[in-house]
Amino acid sequence: MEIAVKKLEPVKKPDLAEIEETGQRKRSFIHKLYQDPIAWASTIWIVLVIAVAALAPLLTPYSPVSGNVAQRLLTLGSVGHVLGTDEQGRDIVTRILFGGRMTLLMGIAPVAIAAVIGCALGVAAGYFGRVVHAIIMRCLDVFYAFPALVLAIAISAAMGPGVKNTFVALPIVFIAPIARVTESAVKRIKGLEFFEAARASGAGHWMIIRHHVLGNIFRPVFAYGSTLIGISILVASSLSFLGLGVTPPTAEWGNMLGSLKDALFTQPAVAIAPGAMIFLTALSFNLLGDSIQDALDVRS
Amino acid sequence: MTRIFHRILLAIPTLFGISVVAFALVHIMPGSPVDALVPPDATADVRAQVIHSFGLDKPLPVQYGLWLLNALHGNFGISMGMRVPVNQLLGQAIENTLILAVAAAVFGFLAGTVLGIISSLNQGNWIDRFVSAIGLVGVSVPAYWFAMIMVILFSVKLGWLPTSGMYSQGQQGNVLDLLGHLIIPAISLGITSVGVTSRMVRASFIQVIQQDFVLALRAKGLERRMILWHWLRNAAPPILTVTGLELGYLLGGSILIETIFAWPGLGGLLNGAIGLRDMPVIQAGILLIGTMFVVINIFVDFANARVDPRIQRT
Amino acid sequence: MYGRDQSSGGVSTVSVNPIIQIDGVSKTFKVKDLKGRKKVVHAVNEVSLSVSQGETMGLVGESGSGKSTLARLVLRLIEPDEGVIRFEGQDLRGLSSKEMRNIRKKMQMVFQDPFSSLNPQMTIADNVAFNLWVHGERKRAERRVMKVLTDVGLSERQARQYPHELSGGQRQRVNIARALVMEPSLVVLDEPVSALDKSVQAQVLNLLQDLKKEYTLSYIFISHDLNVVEYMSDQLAIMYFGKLVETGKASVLYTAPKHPYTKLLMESMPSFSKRERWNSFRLKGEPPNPLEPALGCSFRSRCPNATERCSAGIPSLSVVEDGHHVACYLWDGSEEAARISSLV
Repeated sequence: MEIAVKKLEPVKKPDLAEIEETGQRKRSFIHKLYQDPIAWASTIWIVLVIAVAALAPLLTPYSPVSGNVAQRLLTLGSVGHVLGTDEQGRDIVTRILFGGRMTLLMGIAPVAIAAVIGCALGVAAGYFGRVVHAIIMRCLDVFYAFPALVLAIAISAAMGPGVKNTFVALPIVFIAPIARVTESAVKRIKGLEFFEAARASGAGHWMIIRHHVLGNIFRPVFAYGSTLIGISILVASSLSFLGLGVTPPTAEWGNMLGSLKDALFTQPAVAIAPGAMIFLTALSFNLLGDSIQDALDVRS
Repeated sequence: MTRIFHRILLAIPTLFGISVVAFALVHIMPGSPVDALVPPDATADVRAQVIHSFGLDKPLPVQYGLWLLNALHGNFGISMGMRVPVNQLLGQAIENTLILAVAAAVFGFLAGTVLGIISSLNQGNWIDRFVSAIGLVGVSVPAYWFAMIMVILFSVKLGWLPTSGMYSQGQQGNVLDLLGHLIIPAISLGITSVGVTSRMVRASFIQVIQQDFVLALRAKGLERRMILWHWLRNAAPPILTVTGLELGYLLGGSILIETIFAWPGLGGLLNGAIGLRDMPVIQAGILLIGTMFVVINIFVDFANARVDPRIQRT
Repeated sequence: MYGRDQSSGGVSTVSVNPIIQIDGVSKTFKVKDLKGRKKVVHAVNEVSLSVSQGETMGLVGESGSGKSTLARLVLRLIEPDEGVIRFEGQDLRGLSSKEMRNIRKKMQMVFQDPFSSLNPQMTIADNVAFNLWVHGERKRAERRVMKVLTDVGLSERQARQYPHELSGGQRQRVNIARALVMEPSLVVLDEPVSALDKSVQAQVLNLLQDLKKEYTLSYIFISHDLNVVEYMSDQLAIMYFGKLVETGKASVLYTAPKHPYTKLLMESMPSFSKRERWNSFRLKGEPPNPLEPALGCSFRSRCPNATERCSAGIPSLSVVEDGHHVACYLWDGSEEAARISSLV
């Protein structure tokens, strides 16, 4: 037999023959984000919004919910009210600061809730056999048949306005797409050999899911979820705009626009700020989501 | 032919599901369903009649069946707000919404495609980035705020365009007048589509350009027009799919836009209904929108199959 | 102790202390062809085989021959449609998952692709230790893991690294370590070196030989590369389209193969040594379509010695001499066969 035979020694230095195969040290995902200027800009904005929302009471003397009607609809740059007042005489800057709390909450929390439930469903559909898969996916298809906004509006309308009801309505909208993404990630893993090896070791379902599935689906699911936050903010503020979602007098950027809508002709300028906040915040989350997707090498 | 049939067959469980959701909405509400279906000052007779025709005293599955049966005949009950049967309100509303939605879709598709192509041809340089930024703005901006800004700019300050409604007084049927009223709402509604479509088109065209067969065609000296045609043929399926989906989302977005512009469509109807908790109207609206979305998807599927030879045609 | 096995009802390679006995095992898969019609593929077709303790059985065949399917059947990763598989004398059918889990400690598999066979999110040590965790041994796990990793030639530092930080050859060693950490009796290796460079292959093969002695293992070594198989195997089994066509001692088959397909394989090896060159024959026809299996011997469409008999039925393994079985009508002991075989 002409194969060159070499007695084996414990490897102390990298084998020359194997060097060309050595995987490059994958830069950690945080490292990649660190280098992305857009990610920086978005993150700074988001942190800013979080900071001022949290510190709101300290930053302004006015109340966000009650105002002096005699001072209603003051224009931009008025004394003591940089961005003017709304139709109830409340200071707009204050309402924006406090409104940030609600908007951020409505952006992140529903996606987080939906992620937990959607992931569980997706893993179940992807991991277990055909029957479970078919049942879950068919049920999800029904929710997929509705445009997100329509579904959110329908459920909110039925349940009534209010923050608590929105916390039920919004996650329902996001569960289906998250479950789908999770399911396809799980299916991909099932085809890999380490999954087969785990089964060959005789491991039970829960052990395999815990050690081999969950860690490996995190990336695609997290990347996808981060793109949903921007959408959640837009949908939630749309609900408030329509009178569902967050109701007056609580400040929220969407419902501010809703009540200022009628003042469009008398004092249009005051309507600009809240909308601009929604826009910039949604934009930041969208950009950040894109950057996260790039950094994780996951492109939908 | 079998393909359409097959596709419709697949859609039936989904439609079924949609109807269940629409039906269930009434029962999620606090309070008795009767109160949702009938105005508070209705006589006992009317109440009894509604209870009877909707079978509200019967078990839920039976109720659902009756509701569905009624719905298929176009009977959605009586609107609380308008005191008239719901289906009377629906007819005209659907037409008006479709005008708006289609206009927005066309705008989104055209603008998105043009931007996407420009972007893909200038990959990497400042034009590309600028156009991509527009696209990004499109998906991040709240449509209703954008609408308000447009109104402030073009109607209030500049006075070029009317601020609301579908037609000016007494101008019913005047197409030019309609177009004038249509511009701002359609653009506001379509701006998100522009964003989504341009990103999609850009990615799709870049992919097609890079494919070897385009190089081969150009090497053969094929006329530019033919290349464009082949280009389109390959890029069409995903673009079609996206446009179809967008049309669906536009149906949803119309609820918001119609509110601002007092556009007498399905969305405006729903918005009023939401304020009043007018469940029959909401139910009908949800059912209709969901169904339209499914139908659109079937069309998109079918169109894709015609255009893309790679899809099996059994 | 070689010869016909009466109890298993078929002809198989029977040897001393069989560690695994496969009897008449078949597995079919339902697939759809390009036009959407339902078809059946006979991935494994009535295969009978047995491996002795301490022996390396080389399983040879091209892609599509069913060897990987057979490997997975042995480990019960897939269920056979027919037939019996006995491990250390125990019938594996009908064992509960708990009993099966115990048996799995003793038979392990080394997979082909060094890239996808390790969980990228877990360290090397954890990847190997997972097997131990499954069987409830967490406490002594670390020590055992380190021992087996050292045995395959990896360092403690590497144990704490992640799969993407190692090269292909190193990852394959981890694969081997994972299989050995449970101290099994049987290891099934499915193309363990096919994805590696030639220079690395030698190292891994030597490692396998050393480990076989150190851990007293039996191997089922699957490959399409005849050079590699020759180096490793004691016994040989050749598969073609789901059926065994020839089995016997490796040394015998490499020097004097009888089945036309085996001859073809051996001839196609780049040969350095002074091996006999048989009369080369030209292949004719086309390989059969797995979705439309023809009647009779699956090699007949390409075999230059095919006779009418070859279309009539599938030949079963018959004894040529001690321990050497061939599935070919030329060797079934009839007069006609003797006449033709003397000409070939």
